[in-house]
Amino acid sequence: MLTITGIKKSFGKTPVLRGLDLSVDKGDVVAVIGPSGSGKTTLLRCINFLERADEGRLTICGQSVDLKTVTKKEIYRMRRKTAMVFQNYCLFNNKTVLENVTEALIIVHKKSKSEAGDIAVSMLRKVGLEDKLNAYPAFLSGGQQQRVGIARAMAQCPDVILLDEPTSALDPELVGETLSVIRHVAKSGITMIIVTHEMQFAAEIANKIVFMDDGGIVEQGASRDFFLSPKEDRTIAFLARFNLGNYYSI
Amino acid sequence: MSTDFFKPEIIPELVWKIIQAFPLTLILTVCSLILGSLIALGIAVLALRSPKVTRGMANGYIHFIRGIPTLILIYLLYLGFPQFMKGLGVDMSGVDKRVYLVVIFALAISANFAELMRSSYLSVDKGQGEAALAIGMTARQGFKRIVLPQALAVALPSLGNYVIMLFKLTSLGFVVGVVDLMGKTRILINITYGSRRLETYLALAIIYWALCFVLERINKLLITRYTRGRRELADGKAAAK
Repeated sequence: MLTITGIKKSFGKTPVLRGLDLSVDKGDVVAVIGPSGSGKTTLLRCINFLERADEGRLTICGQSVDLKTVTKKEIYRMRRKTAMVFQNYCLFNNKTVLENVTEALIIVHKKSKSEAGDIAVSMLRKVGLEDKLNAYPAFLSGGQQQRVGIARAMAQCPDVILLDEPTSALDPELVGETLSVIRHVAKSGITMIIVTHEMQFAAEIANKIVFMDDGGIVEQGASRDFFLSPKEDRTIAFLARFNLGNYYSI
Repeated sequence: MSTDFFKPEIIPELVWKIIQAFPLTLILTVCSLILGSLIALGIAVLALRSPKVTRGMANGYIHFIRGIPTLILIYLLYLGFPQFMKGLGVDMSGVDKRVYLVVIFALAISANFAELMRSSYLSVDKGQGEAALAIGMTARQGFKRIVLPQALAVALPSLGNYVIMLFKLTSLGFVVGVVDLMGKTRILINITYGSRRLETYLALAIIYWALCFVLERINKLLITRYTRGRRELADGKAAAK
């Protein structure tokens, strides 16, 4: 459903993505893990065109573009197939919780105000924030803000949701509520690509793990195989710090 | 308390006479505000562009203008510039004084305005614009609906001060002989051979004070309107519900 082939990206002279391939099937929950600076976030941002890749091909739901020659119009069209959840939430600070969710529906998807409102309320109910509709983001906790971020992403009915370290900016108590919302979304069958440092969570929620290092994919595979019998030395070294055997032995 | 040397009872009449000249002060303020904002916008865009040359040009302009007292700028452009143009064979004597003043005041405020625009724009987190793109908005929609209102909220308090400063600055126009509030006041003083200076200037001060008060109130209203989502400025309870 989503295929990336030979994607390359450099910032100045520093290569960040070195021509990697990735394929995601419908309903997949893919966790992208790896050390900082390995290019995980850049990969995600290239899929959403917040970063322009230098080379490669991206296909989402049958629509394919050459990342080198992609036009503005194609970018806008491709972007509507994806939705992004940001590490630092990036809610619109000048809009209320409700407006944050309806904004895309009204402006981009041209829905009527009342229809957008209905969709938004039902999404916000799913993330447990139906009592905060008129609050501004600055008055919410980090966990609440990120849940609004997730509701905003889901409301657009994207083919794939991209989550960029959705819990990295949260304290341990707030991580729990956010992860449980993401878990809930994952179970509903929406395709997701999650960049995360929460190994336990990745093991639990993802059916496919992609391990990146130094701008390339070192190893990828079904979640269980990946954690229980990693093949590459780099993967084994990375996973040595996490004791995930427990999770799978239960 | 009327005495020979101070007659406060004539002040209301003086206020009424002076305020007849308000239209010109208003025109000077509004026109320089518009022109100055346009110049500042150009400068701010240059200052935000990546090539070092354009940034250098913008910064150079800002420093140059900031370092010149407006009074000197008036003399320099109103008296000096035509001399220069004459050397080039262009006769500037047909240009209206008020046009000169509008251009001069616009230049005078453009440096501060440009700096304010740049810093306000930069103060809005980059993620705001990115989130707008990510939900499928065009860059223009994202700027208009998300980034600009937030930048405006940051800029408004200083912007209001600058507008009030500009409004008061236009009183310098009298040096080229236009009849704005200040010019009118000086005419009234000359008519009475300077015998009622205190009352006349008091009347003028009262007018400026009252008008600035109105401007400040308008600015306050705008600030509350645009900072609803901001914790540090908005009234906690009001904005939460």
